[in-house]
Amino acid sequence: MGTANVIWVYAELSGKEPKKIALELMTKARELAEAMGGSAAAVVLGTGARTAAEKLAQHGASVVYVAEDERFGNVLTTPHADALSGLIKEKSPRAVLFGATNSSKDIAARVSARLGLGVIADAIAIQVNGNELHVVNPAFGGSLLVTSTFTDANTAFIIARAKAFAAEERPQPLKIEEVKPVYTAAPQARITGAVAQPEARVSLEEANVIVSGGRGLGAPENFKLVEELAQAFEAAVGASRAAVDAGWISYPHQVGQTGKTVKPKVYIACGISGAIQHKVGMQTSDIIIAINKDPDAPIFSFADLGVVGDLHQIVPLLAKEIRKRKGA
Amino acid sequence: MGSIFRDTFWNVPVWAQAVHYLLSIAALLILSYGVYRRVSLWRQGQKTPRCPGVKLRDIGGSLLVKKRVKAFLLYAIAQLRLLRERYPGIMHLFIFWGMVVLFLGTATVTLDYDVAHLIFRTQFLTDGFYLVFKLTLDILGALLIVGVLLAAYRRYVLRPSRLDNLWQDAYQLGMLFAIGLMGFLLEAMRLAAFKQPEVAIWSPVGYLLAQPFWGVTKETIRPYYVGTWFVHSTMALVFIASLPYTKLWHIVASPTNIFFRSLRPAGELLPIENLEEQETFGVGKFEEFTWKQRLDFDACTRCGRCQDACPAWASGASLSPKKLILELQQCMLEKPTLDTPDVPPMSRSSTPRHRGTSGSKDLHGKVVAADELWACTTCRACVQECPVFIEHVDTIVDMRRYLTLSEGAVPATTATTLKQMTNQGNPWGLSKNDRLKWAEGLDVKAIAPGQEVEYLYWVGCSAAYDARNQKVAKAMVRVLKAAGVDFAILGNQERCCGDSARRLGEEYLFQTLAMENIDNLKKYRFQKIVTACPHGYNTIKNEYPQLGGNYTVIHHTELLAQLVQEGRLELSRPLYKNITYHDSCYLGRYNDIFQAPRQVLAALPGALLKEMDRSGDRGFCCGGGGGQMWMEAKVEKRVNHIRLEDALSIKPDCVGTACPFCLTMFVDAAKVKGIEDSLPVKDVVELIAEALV
Repeated sequence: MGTANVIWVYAELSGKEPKKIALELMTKARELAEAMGGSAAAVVLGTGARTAAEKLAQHGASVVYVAEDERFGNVLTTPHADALSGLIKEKSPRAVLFGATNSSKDIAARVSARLGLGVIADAIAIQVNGNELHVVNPAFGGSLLVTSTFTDANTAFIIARAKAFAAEERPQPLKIEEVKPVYTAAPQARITGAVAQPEARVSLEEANVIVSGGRGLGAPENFKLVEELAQAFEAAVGASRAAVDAGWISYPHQVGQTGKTVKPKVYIACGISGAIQHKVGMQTSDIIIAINKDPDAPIFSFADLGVVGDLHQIVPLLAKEIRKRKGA
Repeated sequence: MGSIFRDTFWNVPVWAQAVHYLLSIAALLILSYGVYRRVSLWRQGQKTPRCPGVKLRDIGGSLLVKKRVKAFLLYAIAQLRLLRERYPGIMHLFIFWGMVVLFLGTATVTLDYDVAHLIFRTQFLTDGFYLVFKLTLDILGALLIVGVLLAAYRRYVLRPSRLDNLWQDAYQLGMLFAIGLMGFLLEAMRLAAFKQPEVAIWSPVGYLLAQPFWGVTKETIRPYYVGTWFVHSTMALVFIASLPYTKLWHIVASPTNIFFRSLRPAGELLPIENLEEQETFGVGKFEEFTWKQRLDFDACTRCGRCQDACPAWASGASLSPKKLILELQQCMLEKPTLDTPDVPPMSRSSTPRHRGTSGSKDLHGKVVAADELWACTTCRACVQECPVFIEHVDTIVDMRRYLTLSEGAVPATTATTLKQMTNQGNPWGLSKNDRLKWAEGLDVKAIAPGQEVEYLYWVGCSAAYDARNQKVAKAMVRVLKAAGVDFAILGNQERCCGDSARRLGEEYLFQTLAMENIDNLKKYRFQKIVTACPHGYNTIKNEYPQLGGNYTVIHHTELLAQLVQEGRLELSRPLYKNITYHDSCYLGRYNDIFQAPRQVLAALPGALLKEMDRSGDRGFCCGGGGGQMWMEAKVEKRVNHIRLEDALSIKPDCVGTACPFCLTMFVDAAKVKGIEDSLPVKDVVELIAEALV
């Protein structure tokens, strides 16, 4: 039986900081726990867990369970599953929230299978009704919203989408509990090497601001204008298919039908015509700003702000102004 | 001088004759066993109706059988497909006819001696008939030798990249050469021994070869003759016995495959029947291939024409249609020792190869890599070039169906596209309620129940949603109105036709979309469907009938050609001088529409139609078909960039297209090259609209 009103968050680390999604979930966990008259806690595994605990407490964790062990630094998730299942067996929280990242989904699946617990994935909303947890997730590509609930009172696993909830500060006194995990067996796989994919500094899916470049830049060296502007904004760098095709930037930056689908607060398209292939990858951005010399470019038909002009002049000026206002 | 007749077994001792007959029996037994084993391999395949509804007793009268016989005569006997390439075509024709005539000649001699002479004590190979017979055999024998030498020169000196050389190629050519040459030597010795120039002159090649030993006596020649005869006849028997165990097997498998070729429309993929009740989809295990597909694999001669024509291969993808068929062939031939051509040495990928003995397990991943299957643009250039009518595309789609429906293993970005087609009925996932937006302010009406129009204009997803292709739809409306054509569109009820989904193996989605469209079309009255999209055209015309949707479908280039011919369009504004036309695969190779778009372009004022090197049924794909529009290919050079260079090489002022995918691919390639402003790429109907007064 899950302890009636304690909601946990499995908080993933990014360096020594909790991931952004962990803070979003923490805020939500606090809100749910309060509605149930209980408390929220976080579980953090890996080097840096203690440092990260502080931020989690700020976002609503009454207790932060930490375990710092080198084996958590590994991409293999058996040790995490060992630690988490031991802890859940001992404490039986009402629910554990996971972020929809590759590693968290992996851990949630392992632990739920081990303990025979139910999982609802792809959550975009969670509501409390008495002691029941109602989870909303989209089906058929978003054309339907399905509300599901757990049929028993065992610990419930919920995997939630990034940006489903807002991260807000709900400061709690910092209380750290050290966990000593019992590992079931030596890991059966080991990592022999890792190859770094040349990635954008800020990942496209998580960025609040994206600056993208297209063929309109005219030459590969002009892509640095886009990079400079992105740096000023602390934004991620995107690109159209044509720019990737021309070899100006690598494929992981491609936004569009055959690249990434992004939804930042601000999307700045420099020299991108806005062909349908690109449009469908970014059209749901909150604000779209287009800079293009061709007034007939299709992008102006769906941009919120369109600038017709020479991006080679506009982009550096914009970057300069942003830096000035940021006081850098 | 006595009468002229065939002195079979001249000089050959009786014991040698006896050995020869014994060896003949052995050769026939080995041959029969081999044929039996090889045909059994075909028969292990799944059933497929290839001669549906044909009963043995009315086989002569069946239209389908007549078509098959005709195809057999044209392609197996006259070898028209082989002749699409002159050198290898003529070379093969020499060898083929040389072999056929020499074989028939030998059979005639057997009849003359073993039947007529030994049994009826008479011979018919005499006098005038014999001389003409000799002359014919002499010439065809010479052609055989020339053909073999041409083949050897091509294979071992010119070394075209599409050929891989195995021992059996050398064996095959070596045997033909040796048997042919020794035949001539025997003839020369006979002529020299008898010394009858007036007879010898009828065997010009043999006579020529006889010159060096014309002075030698009969007695000196005798032992050499016997020896040569014995080697010659034994080699011929080895040749016959080895037929089902070596590449020579193509003599049987290839014509058989041609006879059983598909007679369906080129663009019609077979449906998965009773989709809801199936537990597995497509081909996941080798055993799931049909007998015809097995015959396909067996009929491959490794000629490599498909590979030369393949856009995926040209782009540096891991797919070579030749390699694929050979991998499957290897999988079928159970024992690695039995004619298992190794994968060609030029294979550039690390594609896993089949090395096991069972030939049945682990088709996907071990024999065929998913990358190979997803690289196909379904352009059908391979099928078009294949001299023995192997159906590569259908086999690839069968295996894709397994990956997509049974494994759910589609390329990453494709999954999104399929999902969006499911949700919104278009590949981009744009709202289904925005389908008519392009027509705002154009006075185009969606068809209403009860209204009857001549043409229902099927707009298609690209023209409805893609800004560039919307211009094509607008031009279409302008031209149809200018010509006074009675038409309407389906509006927001139109859904994706399902072409990409089907070719990506998503048969379920295809059938769902098709049935929804057919249901909607039922509500309205129209005579014909016209569309500017060859993919929609092909799917609605050739595939919707499978689901009960039967329509008269025409492509807009056909309608335009008709309107131009009837003088219903006043074209007066000169636009471009040199125009080249890029053939859409789904219009041209799939549906034989080559002339209509050209007629339309030729009607433009001041236009001069210039053809690219690869055009017509040899047109090179734009790279957008078969679902490639929705994938990022891992290639060295994109197909559309290769095709753009084809066009640039003839320096046109404008490239004409007749397909939204081709248009997009061309425009994209031009953008990357930075020449989108200097090289206009336009749909045929846009050009017509611009040329209107």
